[in-house]
Amino acid sequence: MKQTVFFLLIALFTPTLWAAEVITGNEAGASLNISAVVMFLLFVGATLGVTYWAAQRTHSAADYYSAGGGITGFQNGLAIAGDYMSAASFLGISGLVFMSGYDGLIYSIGFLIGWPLILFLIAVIWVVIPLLM
Amino acid sequence: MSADLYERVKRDPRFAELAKKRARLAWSLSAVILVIYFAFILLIAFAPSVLAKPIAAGSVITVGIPVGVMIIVMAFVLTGVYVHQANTRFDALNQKIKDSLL
Repeated sequence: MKQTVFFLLIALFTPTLWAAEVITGNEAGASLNISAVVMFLLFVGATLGVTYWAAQRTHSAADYYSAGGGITGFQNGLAIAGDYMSAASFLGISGLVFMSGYDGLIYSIGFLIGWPLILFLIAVIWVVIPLLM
Repeated sequence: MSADLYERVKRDPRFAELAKKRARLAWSLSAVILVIYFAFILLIAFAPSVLAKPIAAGSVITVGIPVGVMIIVMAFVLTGVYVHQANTRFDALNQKIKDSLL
């Protein structure tokens, strides 16, 4: 469990460091940005490491598809939050701020509002579905 | 779970109560967040100058930034309200239904 949190933290912060390096680096275009390449390889290496470590612990179909049913609500929440935030912040917001300046930050409001809304609507559907059966 | 058990849960008046309470809370919280969000978006669309005012004379930060942050905070607060209600009221009712039928 501690290892999982550790790797999650690495996965969370590595792209930030890497992106900051590209923005502040003086080498424009032509020259090779060594630190960016190193950070990129580190990030990919760490991801592959986590995958290998997880694969070692997978022994059955149930392990493969649902982690043997052993994922707690908190862990699942962390996974969903990580997935959601990385896609939105590293692709969506950086792209929109690049295109239209700080006005692009409105996107972060849009997706954050969408999240509790999904939670509430699933809560409604959760009680309606058994009634329909 | 057997089909028979499903039928018994469905007929239980406490299950109907749980479904009604949960749906009512979820719909109200959805309405609150949608009203806040669309008020903000419509303000941007029809009166952008309101949010474009600087927060203080000579500041580069506009009123829109703290308002936007407040909306994000509201999303967290409303999620917290729902989770608190689910953990206290709904789970207790759920457990009661399970205990009496299983």
